[in-house]
Amino acid sequence: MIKAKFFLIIVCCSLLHLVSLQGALSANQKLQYHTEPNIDEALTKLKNKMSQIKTVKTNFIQEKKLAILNEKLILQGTFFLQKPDLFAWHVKKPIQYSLLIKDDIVRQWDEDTKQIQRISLSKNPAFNVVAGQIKEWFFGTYISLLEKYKIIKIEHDPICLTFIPREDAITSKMVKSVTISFRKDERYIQQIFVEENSGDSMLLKFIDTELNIPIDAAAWEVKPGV
Amino acid sequence: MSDEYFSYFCQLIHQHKLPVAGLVGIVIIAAIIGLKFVSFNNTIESLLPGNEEIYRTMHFLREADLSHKVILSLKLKSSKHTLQDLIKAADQLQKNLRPPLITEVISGVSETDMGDEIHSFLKYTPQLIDEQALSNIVQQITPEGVKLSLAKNYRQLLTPAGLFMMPYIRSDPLGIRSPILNSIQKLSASLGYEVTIEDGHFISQDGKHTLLILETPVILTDGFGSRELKTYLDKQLETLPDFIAADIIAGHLHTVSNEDIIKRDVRVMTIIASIAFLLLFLFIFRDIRAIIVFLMPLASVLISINLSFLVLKKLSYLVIGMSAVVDGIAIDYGIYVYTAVRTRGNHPDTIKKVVKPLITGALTTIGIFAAFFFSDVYGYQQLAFFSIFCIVLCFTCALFLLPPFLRKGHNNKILDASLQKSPLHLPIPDKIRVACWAIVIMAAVILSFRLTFNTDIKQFDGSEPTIFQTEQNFHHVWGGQDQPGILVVTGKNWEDTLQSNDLIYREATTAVGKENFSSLAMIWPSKQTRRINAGRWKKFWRQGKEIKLKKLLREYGKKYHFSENAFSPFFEQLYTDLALEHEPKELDFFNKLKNRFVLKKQTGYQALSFFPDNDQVVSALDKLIKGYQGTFLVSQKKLSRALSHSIFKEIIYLGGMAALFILVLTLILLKNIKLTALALVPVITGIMTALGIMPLLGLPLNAVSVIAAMVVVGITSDYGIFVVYNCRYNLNLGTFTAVTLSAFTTLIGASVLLFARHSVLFSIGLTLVTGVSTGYISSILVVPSMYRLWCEEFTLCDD
Repeated sequence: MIKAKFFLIIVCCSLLHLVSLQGALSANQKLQYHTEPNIDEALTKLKNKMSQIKTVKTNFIQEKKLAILNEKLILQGTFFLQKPDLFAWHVKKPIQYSLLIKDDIVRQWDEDTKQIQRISLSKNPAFNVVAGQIKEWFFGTYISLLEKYKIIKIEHDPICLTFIPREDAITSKMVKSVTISFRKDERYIQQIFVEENSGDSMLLKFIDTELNIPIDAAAWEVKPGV
Repeated sequence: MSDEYFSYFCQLIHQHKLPVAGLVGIVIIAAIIGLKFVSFNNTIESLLPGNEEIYRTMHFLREADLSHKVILSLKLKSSKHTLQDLIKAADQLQKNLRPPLITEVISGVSETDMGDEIHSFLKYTPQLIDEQALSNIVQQITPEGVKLSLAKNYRQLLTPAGLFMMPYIRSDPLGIRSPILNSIQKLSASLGYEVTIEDGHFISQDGKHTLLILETPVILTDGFGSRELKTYLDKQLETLPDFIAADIIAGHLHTVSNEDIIKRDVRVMTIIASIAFLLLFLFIFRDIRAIIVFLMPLASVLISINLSFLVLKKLSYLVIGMSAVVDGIAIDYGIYVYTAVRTRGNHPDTIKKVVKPLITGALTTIGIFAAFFFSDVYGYQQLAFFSIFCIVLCFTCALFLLPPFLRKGHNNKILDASLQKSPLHLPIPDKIRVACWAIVIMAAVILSFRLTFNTDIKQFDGSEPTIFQTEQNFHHVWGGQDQPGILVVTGKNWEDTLQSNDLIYREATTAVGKENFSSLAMIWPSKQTRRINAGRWKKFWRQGKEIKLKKLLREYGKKYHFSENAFSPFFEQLYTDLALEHEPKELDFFNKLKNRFVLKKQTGYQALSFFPDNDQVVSALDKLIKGYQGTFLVSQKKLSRALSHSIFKEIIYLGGMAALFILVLTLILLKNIKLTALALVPVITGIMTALGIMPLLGLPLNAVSVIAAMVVVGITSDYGIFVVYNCRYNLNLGTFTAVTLSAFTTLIGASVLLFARHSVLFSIGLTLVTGVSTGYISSILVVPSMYRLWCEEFTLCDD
């Protein structure tokens, strides 16, 4: 049981980091701190639309603004998702890095070490949380997040939602807000912006997104140059 | 007792039959009422040898704060419901569980402060880094070392999961604190359970189970309280939604189940034995008065249980389990007297003729049970007291109370002719009988070489299979199947205990490797050690290492665009001086780790370390702790070894005593070595076949079957004595009928144990049935043949 304690760090910290951010909210933007009364309807609509999506293939640009670095860290790569449990994250720049989550196993590879690292999800709380977060943010079941977040609709067409952790939620210590913008057809995410209490932020933009297409088996391999 | 006194007593009872019968009736009724107040000890300690090692282990396990906990494992049954539904139901259940039976419920750990807690704890790094770890850092404060560390940190920024490590990277660019974090993780996993946390709840790896840990004031040995607790929990679990299944994991369930099983076994055994005895007497003896012979041992058992309880207080369930067997033994004396009376007529002379072999038979049986007084096992001592009292009571009743209530005059026809007829007359040559016997014994001897010993203490737990199955399922879901061994360090005060713990940790990790030893010393050494560490740390960084590291980080960090102050948190905390006296009691995770690794006792503290319970590690640690007073191992392997050793000791010691006792008594009675050897043939047969049949059935020998084997010696020696005595004196007392009936009654008492669900009782039953039946067969088929072949010249006339 005490093993669980160590996990908690990860739970707290990794909640939103795997997601990139979008600057949909400017720093001085005034937020409503109450979930909108008719938000359920919007969330259900999104859930219905996104539940139709079985596979996702998209290029991405991730911008991380971190106090630890003098410059923005910009990552480019490709992201694959196949419901219910397959996820691949291939970074091409600035260095090649791949992460694959398949069943209970996480595999990582990077061009510096050139080694594949295998990690069991159940034995690695950090990646377990990552897997949980992927489902939480990329599968569209936002209605279940109402207990943890106050959700505000800041744009109507296409829809754009901001999630503000409730005070008693574990994420509130680290995350200030998460804002998700959707495509025009509202079938999938356009971009995600995460702003942290520390001032760090991340923006993840999806480009050339293809939905419900057969994913090449090579996407689920941790190999250089994919 | 002289003939005069014997006749006087018989006459006295004969003249006052009614008052005597009334008195006996009152005593029996009082004994029945008294049964309601008798309580039983259902702990396994009473069945284990009083060896210091075993006692210490059992005492530790009982006293360790592990036994008063109950675990509820809730499972999501339906795929239509989510983990959130499971968590909600668990929360609701948690609210419903209240005092007095449940004093605390833990459903998980607070996630909110965890990151902060770890950060706060890592401020103690200067006190926790030892000389070896510090020397490793030297190799990292080099251009190559720093380049490697920075590249690793940069790569972590690219990974989705690694980003949460940002605060850790900034405050520890070289990963100096990683060993401490690893140690925390290792300590957390030291019991082998695999738990994740979601929404502050313990969640299984399959994401379908959650866990509630309940604290209860009900102690394991409290049968009544355990039953109340079980009923309460069952009632609360009924309130769970249909899509959730719940399993209770608690020692209390074993207490309740063992009690239920024993009660059920005793009930079934009593019914079967009663019916069998009644049928035997009504259809074989065809005499209503023969019921007295049946009632005598039953009354003796009832009275003996009461008396044993008054003298010994709580009785082991072994006593109750063996009561049917003792009943079967004690009835023999009544049978011998009854058969003699029916064969030769009801007058004092007939009784006098059977007194001698009866006394010898009773004494040999008593001698066997008396040997148990010298056993280390308290349960056996209780059994000895109970059995001896019961046998003496029944023997006395058979001699003095039974005859006045039987018919006058003899009637040979009453007994079944087939029983009257001796198997001596079977048309098989004596030499062939003896040869067959020799072959059987040789086969049994050969088989007995394959005998194995079961020293697992779990065999004494007769709980329902469903309880074990539930526990197995629990381990399948949550891990923890292979329980680690525990090294216990004791100390008078906290600091002393930690200092000893430090020393042992250093030696133990050298002996068995760091990967095989989890101790609190890994993250919280003694104040003395922390003081030395802190001094060394300061000295290390002030010798120019701080400046050098800053310079290297600045120089090589440019490549990755690390900012100027990227690692300032590390240098700001470099000389943080936390008071050595201060212990991070405000940190929840630390307290929980401490609670697991430290037990506070009235006389001081016990620091626990965990290790894999295998022979190699146990043996290495066993050698190591010899130099430390008050330090000991709690290991199932070691416990098994100690049990094996004790069982061997018991077998040799008690077996030797019993053999000597029987030999001497038989020799005194028969006054001839050859005849004595002949009388022991049933004993040898019974023991060897009982030992031979176990490997044949794939069963191991255990502590209780050894005891049962001793009882076989006591019973079968009677058969040998009676038959040889009968052959020698050519008595016409219906001896073969009596031996047959007595074997039947004993076998009825023993064979009902084969219907017991409790493994201990079954084990006793198997040994007794095999031993007694073969002992009996040899006494009527082989002993007379041997007598005719080798001892005919010793035959004397009836008088």
